[in-house]
Amino acid sequence: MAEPSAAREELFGKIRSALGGRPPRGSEPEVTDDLLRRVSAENPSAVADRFAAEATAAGAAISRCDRADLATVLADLLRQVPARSLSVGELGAFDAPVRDAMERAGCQAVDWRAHADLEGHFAADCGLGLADAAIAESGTLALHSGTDQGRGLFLVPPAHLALVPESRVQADLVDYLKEDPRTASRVLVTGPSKTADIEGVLITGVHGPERLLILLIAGA
Amino acid sequence: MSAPGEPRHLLDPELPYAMGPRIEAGIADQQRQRFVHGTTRRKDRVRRETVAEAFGDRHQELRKLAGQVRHRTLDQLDQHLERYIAAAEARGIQVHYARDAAAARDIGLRIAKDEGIQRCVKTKSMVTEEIRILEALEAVGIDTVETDLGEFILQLDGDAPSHIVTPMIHKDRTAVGRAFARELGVEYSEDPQVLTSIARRHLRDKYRQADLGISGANFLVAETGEMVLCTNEGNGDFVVNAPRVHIAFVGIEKVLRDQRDLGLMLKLLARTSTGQPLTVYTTFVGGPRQPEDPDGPEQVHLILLDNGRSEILAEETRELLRCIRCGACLNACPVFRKVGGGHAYGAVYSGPIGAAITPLFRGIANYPDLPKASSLCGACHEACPVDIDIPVQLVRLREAAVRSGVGSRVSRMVYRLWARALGNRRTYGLMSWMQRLVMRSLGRRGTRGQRWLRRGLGGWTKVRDFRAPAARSFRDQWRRREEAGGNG
Repeated sequence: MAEPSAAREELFGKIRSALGGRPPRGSEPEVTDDLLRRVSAENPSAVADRFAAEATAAGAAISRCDRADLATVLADLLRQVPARSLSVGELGAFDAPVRDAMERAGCQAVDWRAHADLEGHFAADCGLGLADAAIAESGTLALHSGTDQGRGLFLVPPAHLALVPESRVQADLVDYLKEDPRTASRVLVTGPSKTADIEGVLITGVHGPERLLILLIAGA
Repeated sequence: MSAPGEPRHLLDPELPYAMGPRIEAGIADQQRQRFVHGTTRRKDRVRRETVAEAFGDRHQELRKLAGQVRHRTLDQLDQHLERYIAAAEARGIQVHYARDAAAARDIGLRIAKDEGIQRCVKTKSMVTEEIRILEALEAVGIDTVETDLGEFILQLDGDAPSHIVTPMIHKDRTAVGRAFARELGVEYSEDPQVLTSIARRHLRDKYRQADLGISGANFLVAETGEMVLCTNEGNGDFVVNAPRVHIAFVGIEKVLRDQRDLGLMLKLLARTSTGQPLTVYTTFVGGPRQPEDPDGPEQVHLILLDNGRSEILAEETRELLRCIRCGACLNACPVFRKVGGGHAYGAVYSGPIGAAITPLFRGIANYPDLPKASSLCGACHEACPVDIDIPVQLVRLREAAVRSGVGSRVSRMVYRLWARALGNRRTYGLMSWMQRLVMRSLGRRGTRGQRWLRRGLGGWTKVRDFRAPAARSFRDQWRRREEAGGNG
């Protein structure tokens, strides 16, 4: 795909000219985990607790449950939102309990995949998806918006409900950034949508969701 | 630059640009003073508290490392940019090269034309301001909306941003209410929550109708080929995901080597900028939708912009390209605060970083005041997460300005005479005697002499004050004491 174009050659010519063929000065700076890491990965239970605390500080509403209670707790949450219509992502092993919870709470799923763009999500009260990973250091969700949940589920509906299995919670940003999942799009979400543009007054729910709910699932 | 016939933009004034009038207006505007002081001081305090709490003793080490990493990457920019382009193209991102603002606009317009674009949504990006893409799109009939709440309001009100991160620090809620009532036909309200809801509803319709999304990017990661955008409102994610075509305009200096460097930058950026551990949305654009994806843009274009950056890449000024646009230097700067924010700088990039790069981008003869709009206190350097020595760069610019003959002939002549007088003991003595005489006699308050001084040297004396000097010079006093045997 990349044929050398005149514009490209011109740009690189100018860059090389400015650099003058001189080698960089000083020694190679070393970016080590030790220096960057703020949260240790040693104790998974402490990591899960830290995630809950940081996500709360970022403005998310955290609930916790055991794998076995998932359907019950989720049904409760859905009633509280209140969510009538949901944009639901691929849930893998959690598909059955989630469908169960949706039935108990009287929720319908919107067919967002019928649209090639984000249009389908505008009819939903709430987006419900499975987080691909989470980062305890900042209370962040990692959503790999490829096949599983598309790009609109966490963004368009006024509420976003994320299921986070404790096993997927990583301690620190440096841990998450070790891999490249090779998706066409991914996003790290830390709290609900915010601005303070008007006189520095903090407002949530500007374009993205006003409410972020997280269900942290132990034993999963 | 405006084309002939286009209205002048606040951040693209007549050149050469003299700061004086806008500084005076900014100082006189009590409300602007209150807002800008309040906001910048609070954000500066939040920055210091946040980095202390997050990093403790390690903070200095981290920011110096971040500076070295950015600098090292720039030292080898050709290699890392090449790696980035290869990785990005492998993911389906179409890469274009723009030597300047005009070329960038042309490429953007060509893509829009080829794709039959009719409506565009745009997210906040300094580079898109730099190249004035919004006006170019509107000129060819493509309806374009700024979606960042602050920028949306400014666009509605025909105003310009006054800060690179929080663009509306000079505007209050009543102004926003009036603008909405006037332009959107809604009932007047000054409640920020209500105003935000109005904007949210209005802009959601725009996202659904748009076929082109325009953004910038905070970083380009060579290891993976992704572009990274750091935003808070969610508009960035609508802009890069909803429309059929996405175009990102990004300066060549934004390249990072790998995800490890990205981690370092991300850990510092939001904490330094707004006191958050990360911005609400850190979005990685990794290409157009794949066959198995349910949604996403069909095309993702990256327009790499030079527009003077390859010149700034020269060794003496290279550190300025480390900038990650966090805005910390603006919040730390007493001058920025005093002049009432970014409008006084008359350029897209304001504050300390703007004062350093604008004369390099646009010519020192066009912006002669900017490098002088600083007391060289160093607050900006201290605040900078990538350790840019902005004061050194401003002094360098002042030197360059003098050498190239910029500045008043009178002041150059005065300095030349002064330098000569200082070179010789006798002329030094004569000069300081004359100086004492003038300042003691003519400088006394209320005298005709002072009024004369003010009239003649008003431009210089208006903002300076000196105590009246002592009757005898130090050397004279010392000599007398020596003779009296008193100096020990």
